[in-house]
Amino acid sequence: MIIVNTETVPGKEITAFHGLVQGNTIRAKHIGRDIGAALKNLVGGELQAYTELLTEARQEAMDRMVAQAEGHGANAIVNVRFTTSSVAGGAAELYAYGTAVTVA
Amino acid sequence: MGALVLPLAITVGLIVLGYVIGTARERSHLADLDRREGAAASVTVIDVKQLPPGMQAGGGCLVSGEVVIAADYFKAVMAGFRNLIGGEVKTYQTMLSRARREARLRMIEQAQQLGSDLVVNVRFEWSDVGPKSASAEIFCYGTAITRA
Repeated sequence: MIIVNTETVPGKEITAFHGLVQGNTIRAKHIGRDIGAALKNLVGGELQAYTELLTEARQEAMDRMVAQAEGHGANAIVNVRFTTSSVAGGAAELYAYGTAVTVA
Repeated sequence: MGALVLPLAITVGLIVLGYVIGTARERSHLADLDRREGAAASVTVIDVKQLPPGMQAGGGCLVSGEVVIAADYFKAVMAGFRNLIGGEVKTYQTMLSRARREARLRMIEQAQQLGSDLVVNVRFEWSDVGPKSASAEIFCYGTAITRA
């Protein structure tokens, strides 16, 4: 599966559109990570536990999007966008969407 | 009066701790960024969708980098003061610019692993998903182009 955020796949031609595909996930942090983050807030710097959590979550959202595209028989997803939103007390929603296409 | 001494001492202690450790960490992060940006200089990063004229592309792949960064206690207190009198919040400005540079570098390093020297349609996103206090997530993504 080719995934790009441009409108076409560079060097290839789109032969069919299969419509919008999307994937989302909502992740909550566990208390240990929150305590670590609170300590980090005193001295500043990267909150690695959060970075990892979000990277995993974004991957999960993308995997769901890819699964949908595969269901449509597509071999690429173009014009992919991401959004993140903060829902209900410390949980984060990661959302990925794009257009499933066939390229040749 | 005596009851105020301990909380005050803790607050001042945290500000000093934040300043000393936070500043040292910021300095080492900036040095690390300078070094890695030197190594990443061969990759062109643009935020337009078109390829450079005349370029033959063989394919594209989504690349991304993200970072969640927190302010130290000193930065947060300084920003609090700044809120009273207005003006640029310098302490947060440096923090966010570090985070953007870091996210951009992680994306470039992913592109380099794919053997690409061009990333197009780059977008930056910001979101507020960390703990309640001052922290931010920066997400940077684009399409790495491989040559035909």
